[in-house]
Amino acid sequence: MLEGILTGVATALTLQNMLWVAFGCLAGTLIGMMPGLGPVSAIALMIPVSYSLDPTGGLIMMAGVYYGAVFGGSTSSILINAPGVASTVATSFDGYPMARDGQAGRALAIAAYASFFGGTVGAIILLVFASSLAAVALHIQSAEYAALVLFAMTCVVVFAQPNERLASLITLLLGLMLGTVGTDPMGGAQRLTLGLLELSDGIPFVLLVMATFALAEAFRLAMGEPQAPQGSFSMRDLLIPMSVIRRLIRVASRSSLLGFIIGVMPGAGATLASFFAYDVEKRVGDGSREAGVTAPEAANNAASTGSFVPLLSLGVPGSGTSAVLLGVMLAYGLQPGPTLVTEQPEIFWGVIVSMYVGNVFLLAMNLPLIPYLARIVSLPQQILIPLVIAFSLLGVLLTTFSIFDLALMLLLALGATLLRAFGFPLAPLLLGFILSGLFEENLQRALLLSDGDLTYLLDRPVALVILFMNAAICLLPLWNRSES
Amino acid sequence: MSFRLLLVVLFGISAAYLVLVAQIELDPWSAGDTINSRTLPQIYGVMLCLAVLAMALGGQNPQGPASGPAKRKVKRLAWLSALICAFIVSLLWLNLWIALACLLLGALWTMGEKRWSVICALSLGIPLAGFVLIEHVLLMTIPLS
Repeated sequence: MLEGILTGVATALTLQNMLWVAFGCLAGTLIGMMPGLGPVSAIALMIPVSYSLDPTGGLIMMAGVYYGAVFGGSTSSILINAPGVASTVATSFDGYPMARDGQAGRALAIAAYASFFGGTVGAIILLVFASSLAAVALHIQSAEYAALVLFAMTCVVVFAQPNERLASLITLLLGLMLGTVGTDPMGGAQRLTLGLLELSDGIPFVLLVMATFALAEAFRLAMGEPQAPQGSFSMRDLLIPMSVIRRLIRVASRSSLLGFIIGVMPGAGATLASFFAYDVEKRVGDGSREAGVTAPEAANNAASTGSFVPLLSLGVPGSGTSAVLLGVMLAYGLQPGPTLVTEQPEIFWGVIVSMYVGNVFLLAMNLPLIPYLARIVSLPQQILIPLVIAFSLLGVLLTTFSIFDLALMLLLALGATLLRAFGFPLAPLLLGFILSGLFEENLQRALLLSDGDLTYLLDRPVALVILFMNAAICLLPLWNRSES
Repeated sequence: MSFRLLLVVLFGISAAYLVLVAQIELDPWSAGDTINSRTLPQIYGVMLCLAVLAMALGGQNPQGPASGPAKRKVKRLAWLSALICAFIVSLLWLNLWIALACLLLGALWTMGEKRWSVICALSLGIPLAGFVLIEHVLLMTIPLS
């Protein structure tokens, strides 16, 4: 393995490849900052550029694009509450309020440091355990996924504030219901489409995110009292006190580890990781806003690295983005899988080492930009609100190319504004929407394997442990009540 | 709009959802499955009905104003919604970037920006930058449907 790492270092640290990774990070950051365009779109847009490079250079550039786009998405999440991709939604929960309170520079700096930390931890784990983790990932199957998704949904409700539990359950259910619109992934039946062809593929995730976060937030601001622009920003915002750093390192370590483990599982990805890490931190940690930005950022970067494990070791894409990367590799004539490490070690290890190099570049490039980016939130509201409206509509249009979707977005945004006005949390709605398809698909697949026998879930040890944990946390509120 | 009315609306949504779920056509070979296309949606619909009822009966309100947004605040929201509707309709016969310029102009004016230099700079500059970046740099075409 040491020999492989040295090969990777030698490959990644050539001047040409370092330039490509820097270019990839810059392009990814710029594309990722545009609402609606996430890592998948960024990688897809860069495919024509990668074809003009050799396979190693092309894949190294793509790894940079991936990282850059994930970080770029966090920037728009924090500054205008418009997370273009699912994996940065959790960052906006605390990042955007920080920005509104005049701490945009600090929130962006924390996001950059946490991303770097998460990416570094991910890259180190990947270097050391890549092959053995792939074997573990193979044991996680449909039954375990279904149990894990159920566990995530239960956590959202049980760990909500006591007076928000029912409201969280209601918005979670609304999200699950919205997720059932469209063609049933397993049965193929058209569900709740009202005979509209536009709904047969379901509601696009970007549309729901833009409606419930960006557009609804613009509406909320428009209905509120005008606020004075938030102060000025300087490089001093990037300096975080040592006491805070010490606290956040613990948060980032926990979240990176959790993110990487979830990222390794095919299909789970950075989104689930960031939500899980945020939720865990809010319950286990000190609940500060800084920790609320650190946890999802560290987790989604570590998960992004983790998703390369099944791709490089098994040839199985762990997420939408790695599926596009798989396509790029196949176009180069490469066959990802167990033979890649033996037959083309310079590509396997080069890509892994370049992920770390990409992290360093990302931090070095983005930190100086933060004071300038942070000025976006200092715009007066009469300018900021029209810009958020325009960018969110454009983001959906660039993703779906559908005028119908814009009308649906407006409808959902009005509904979300109403729910928010009455204090309903909207994060469970998004989580329910994301998990709806994942839960149903895996549950149906598990039942297909067991010939319709639900007890199959209990026959699998890992699924049984997760279900047991699920039952235990359901009893937690009752136990807390009896304690108090 | 009162909180009670919102709960009535939510209950109505869950009831309508259950009606629509009952109308999902199942294939003969999947109708007998333990989990078919209707099962989970039915569970979600029933659970939402129960949760809304529990909230109405138990009085467990989430944090928030008891009476929802005030009328004068809703007026601006209505204007912005009308502008977005106009933008959507105009896309049927206007170029995207021209429609976007009109939307920005209207939204800036509605939000109280009265400096024409700012209005013109933003409503012309952003669509122009978008046009150059999206259609010429990234070479994306936007085939609206």
